[in-house]
Amino acid sequence: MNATHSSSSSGGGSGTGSGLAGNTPTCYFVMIGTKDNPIYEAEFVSVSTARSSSAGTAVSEAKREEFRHLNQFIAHSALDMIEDIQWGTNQMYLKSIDKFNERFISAYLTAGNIKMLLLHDAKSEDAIRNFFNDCYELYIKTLLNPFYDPNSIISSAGFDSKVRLSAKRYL
Amino acid sequence: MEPKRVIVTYCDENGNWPSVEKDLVSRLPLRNLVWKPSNNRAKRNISVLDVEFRRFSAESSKNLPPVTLLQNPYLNLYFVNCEDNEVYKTTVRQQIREWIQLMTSKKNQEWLIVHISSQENARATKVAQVRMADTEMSEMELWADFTEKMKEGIMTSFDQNVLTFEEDIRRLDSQRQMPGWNYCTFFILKEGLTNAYEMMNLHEDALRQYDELEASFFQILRDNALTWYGKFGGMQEGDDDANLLDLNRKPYRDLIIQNTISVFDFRTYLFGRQCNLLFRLRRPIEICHRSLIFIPSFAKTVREHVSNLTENFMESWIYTACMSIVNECDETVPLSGDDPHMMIVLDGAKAELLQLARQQLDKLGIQHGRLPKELPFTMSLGYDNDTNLGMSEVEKKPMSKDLLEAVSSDEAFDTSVSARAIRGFDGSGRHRSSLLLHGDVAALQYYRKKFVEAARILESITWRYGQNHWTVLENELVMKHAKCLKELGDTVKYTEACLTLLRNMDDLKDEDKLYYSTELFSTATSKELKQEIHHEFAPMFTVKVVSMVDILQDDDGSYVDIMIENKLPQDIEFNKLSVRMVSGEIDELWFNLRHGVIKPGKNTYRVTCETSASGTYVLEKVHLKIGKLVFLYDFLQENRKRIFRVDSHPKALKATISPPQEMELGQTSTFIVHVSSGRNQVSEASLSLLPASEGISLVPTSTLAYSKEASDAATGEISFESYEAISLPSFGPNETLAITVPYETFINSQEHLIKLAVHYLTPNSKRHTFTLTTGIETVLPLQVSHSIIWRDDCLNIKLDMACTSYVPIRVLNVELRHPARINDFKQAPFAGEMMQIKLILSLHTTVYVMASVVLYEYHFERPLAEATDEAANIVPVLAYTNVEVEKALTSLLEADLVKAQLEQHNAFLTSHLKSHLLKGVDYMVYGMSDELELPPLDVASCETLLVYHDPKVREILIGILKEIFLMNKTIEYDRIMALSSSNQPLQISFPIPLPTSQMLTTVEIIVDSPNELTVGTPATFQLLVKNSAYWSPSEDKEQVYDLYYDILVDYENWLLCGHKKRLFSTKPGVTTTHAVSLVPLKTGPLHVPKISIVSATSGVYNQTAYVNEAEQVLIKPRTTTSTFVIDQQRGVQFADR
Repeated sequence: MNATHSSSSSGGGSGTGSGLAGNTPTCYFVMIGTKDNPIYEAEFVSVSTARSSSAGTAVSEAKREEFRHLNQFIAHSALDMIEDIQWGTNQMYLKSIDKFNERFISAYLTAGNIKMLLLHDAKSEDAIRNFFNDCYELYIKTLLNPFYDPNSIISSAGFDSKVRLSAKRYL
Repeated sequence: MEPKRVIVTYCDENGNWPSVEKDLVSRLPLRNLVWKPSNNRAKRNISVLDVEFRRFSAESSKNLPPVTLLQNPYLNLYFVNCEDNEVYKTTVRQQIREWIQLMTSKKNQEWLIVHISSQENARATKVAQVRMADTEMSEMELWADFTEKMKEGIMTSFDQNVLTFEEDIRRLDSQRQMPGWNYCTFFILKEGLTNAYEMMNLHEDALRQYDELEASFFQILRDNALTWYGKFGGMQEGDDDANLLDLNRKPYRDLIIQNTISVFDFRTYLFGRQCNLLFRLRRPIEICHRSLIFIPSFAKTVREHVSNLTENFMESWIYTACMSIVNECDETVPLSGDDPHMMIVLDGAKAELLQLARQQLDKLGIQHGRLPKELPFTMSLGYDNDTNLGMSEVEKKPMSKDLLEAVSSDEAFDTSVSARAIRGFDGSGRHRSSLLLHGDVAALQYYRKKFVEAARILESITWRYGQNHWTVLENELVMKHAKCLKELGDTVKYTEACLTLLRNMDDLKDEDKLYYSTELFSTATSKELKQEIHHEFAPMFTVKVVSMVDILQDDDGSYVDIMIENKLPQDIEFNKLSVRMVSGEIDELWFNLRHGVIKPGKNTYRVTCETSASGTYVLEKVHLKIGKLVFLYDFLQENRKRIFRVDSHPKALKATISPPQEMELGQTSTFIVHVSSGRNQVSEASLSLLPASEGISLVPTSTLAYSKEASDAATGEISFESYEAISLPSFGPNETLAITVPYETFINSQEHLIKLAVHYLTPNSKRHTFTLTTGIETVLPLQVSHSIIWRDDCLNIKLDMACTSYVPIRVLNVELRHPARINDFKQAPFAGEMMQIKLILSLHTTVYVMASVVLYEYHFERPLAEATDEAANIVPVLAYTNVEVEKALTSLLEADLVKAQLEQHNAFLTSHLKSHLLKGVDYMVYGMSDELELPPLDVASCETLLVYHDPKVREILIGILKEIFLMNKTIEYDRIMALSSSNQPLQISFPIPLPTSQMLTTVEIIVDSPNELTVGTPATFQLLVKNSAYWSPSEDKEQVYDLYYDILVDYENWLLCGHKKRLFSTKPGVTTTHAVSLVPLKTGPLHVPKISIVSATSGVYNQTAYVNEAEQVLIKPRTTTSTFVIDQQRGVQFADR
């Protein structure tokens, strides 16, 4: 159901999860590099919603494609909000910074100006904070890899599966 | 709703009111009130308070319950004007007493008696005195007391009111869990307090009350205690498009009191009140933020009840709510703005509201078929875009008028909301959100077929997504852009858009990929595309060179294999594939392939170059031309340069530039271009020559001499117009044309570069080119100078030769060409011997060797008859060779290469032989011993030299070189000469003008007794001056010439006694003798003084041959010593001892 699918696609998008099931919105997670470029993105079905909608009809390919666009558009315009907020706090976790219809956008801004955005339904702040912290740690580990150029797309399958694991645990 | 004011009543039984009213009103509103709450909260300042005066009446002073909208007065005034004690005692006191009684019976109301008098009286509490017509005090002071008291009274009354309210609220709040508790009652009570605050202009406190109310509402909502709300509401007409801030639309308060208010109305009222207060507080940002929270969250609630509501109720309501708030904000907040930062935040918040409103429009548009159900419009539908939305719904009730209008016609469905939102986002610096909206507007324009507009907007925004690699988003927009451009027929931009899409093809669906690549190439090849479009290879193609450059066997030229990987899903036909290689700054090679197909996946192509030019080339770029579309790839951007050695076929047409065999100094310099056809039948050829370095130019001329070296040796002249295109005569296989080209240099440099190209047609009518950039040495390795020595009956010519290069020169021959008119000349007797040596070893660096240059002398005997021939030249000719070792080794190498069938490498190896491989040869030793010792081969430097060659070939070549060096450790001079027999010695000739002189005198100085010369003793010298008969300027032997001699005495050594200068006459053949005394001043060998003879006759010039030149005489010391002091001015003083 919630397949930890690792995508090897290069180019703009990486790691769009294939684990979309049911017509419930999924969580959308994207990491954005210092040049406003997405370096990692993933979609997860949160455990609770996945369970409740396990019998739900599969979303059509077109819908998914559309969701992907929608998610990216939302994430992209949410960067504005981060810029508004980032100087007003000394926290990395910026909490919920924006809303789109009834969905929330939570953000996490690392010291290295890497932005992490999560598009989600109302969830406890702590869970999201934990998830972000996990992702940050994973990112730092990736950064330590001498073969990884900062700001390039993270295509590591290991990173992807770990992020998904963390998503499963917290979201 | 009109803001309420504090009510103050007045009771005026004496008719004083009209007289004070004017003054009193002018003192209003009250300023700077201070509220010190009695419950120990922080005190508050009320800067302004408006007061409403009402005439006291018994009815209005009734104590009203707090729930009503009617208010109790805070202060009651009693105006009294009584100067007369009697009257006071009888009537006025009674009246006052009654009034006070009435007042005290009321709760939370203060009273004040105002005594209007003209003189000061003793005061009582709660009596304010206003003295009329007092000139001593200013107006201000007159009223100060009164207003102070009034303020005090109002505040006390207000405080009591608040306390009462708070107590009531606390009581009611504590009963919340009790059955029958009604939220509405609670609300009304609380609102009473709020009103009180508001009346006192304490909006902050009022707002807090509402916030508490809202919180408690949600608390109750959570506790599911809202059973008292019978219905959701929103069923009434106008509910969907009501101004959220219009609180007078419905009698909300009454509804609450009656406990019949619906949830919808209640929330609307509560929010409206909050907003009203915020507007008073001038906090538009907070309003926007609050509405951004309120509208979506309440919309959620609305959705739960949506089935009961009119069609599109929700969209309509959200739209109106957003718009009304934004409009209200725009009206309330002055545009000039107080604080720029605040304006930015406000703009952002407003823009968000507008965006929300816009989304509703999108939703409606989709439902009503005004907009297609596709991105980006469906974005507004969010995630739950159920498919049951649509036209099938039963028409329930018409929705709001302007919305209905908006959806009913295309024109009205305007983008003004978007435009406002974009302005807002731009103003707040949220450019990304603004981009999103731009995209929406563009999409709308596109949908309405306003393609120009749409394309314009899209063009300006798409790249901003692409720049940051949001490719999915970029693709979405570019696709739309492409569609627009296609509609518009803008092929150039359409092609570019397709290219952009294909660049991001990883995020494209397969069918899109195929569609756009098909589109791209059909557009590129169509005639509509007027302009060439250039694009990188990546990421659609990758290109690699997969082979070394090799020569074509059957044709002149070379080829290279390249591999192109096509990542597009279709076959692509290309017009031309070219690879460019460059060498230095000037030479380039184009490898071409015309017409081919690139299949998806990897393809290998062989590209050929018709230009034969050998050299080391750097792979520079690849062009792939498909119609008007050119894909480029620059190899230089890779980290490592790919360098190739390009050779030409040994039998291909070749051209070289060499210095002429015979050089004549003083004439125009020339070089010779040899064009050898090799195996080709050259039917048409043209040569172009171009000076490639500064400081050299080809002498403009109209004809060039050429000679053909072949079976039928022929010479001729070529007429041409410019050096860029010299058409050559046709010539057959194995023929060589030698063309002499004159040039001149104006910057001294060792070497000048000439670029040479031969364009020629071979019998199979293929056009070929041979190019070569080569240097010509303009400086000779040999430096020659001459001097002339005059003798009585002959001339001696001295030639000084010096070698200027590091490699010694072998001078093979020196001969003298002379005009036939010179009857006889003979070489010095030793000249023949010198010829036998035939080798000059001379190194530029060794000055000593240069100084000891061998000199050749030639004696001329000239008949007198030729005396007047002044134009005669003597031309010495030097034949020399400096490359014999090189040539010998080259011929050895060539033979071996031919054996190994690798002749194409000959040129390359030869060119590097001297500079790299023969570095260790000691030519001096060779010159001395006539035996060449080859140093061992430097294999490492060979390998670096051949690093760009095919590894296999490299091995063979090194093998050959090794063998040559091993087999020929020492080479005899004879063998070298034999091997380099093809090497013709170079000749230099230069003219020496034959000098003539009118007169020659021979001077000889003779010492009388050369053995007896002692220092300090005068010695007699004979000066013999012979006038040569041979060089006489005229035939007349009796002609007398006047001459004078001048003895140039070295005064350090000699003292002269006698004539230093003296005029004398002489005739040809006559010797005159002059005696002079010279006193030697030093001992030892001394040079005899120099003597010059100068003609005293004008027009006659004399040359002097001095026999004793550089002769010395021995001066002995004296046996006795004497000291003498020499002073030039006073002569010599002797002091004999």
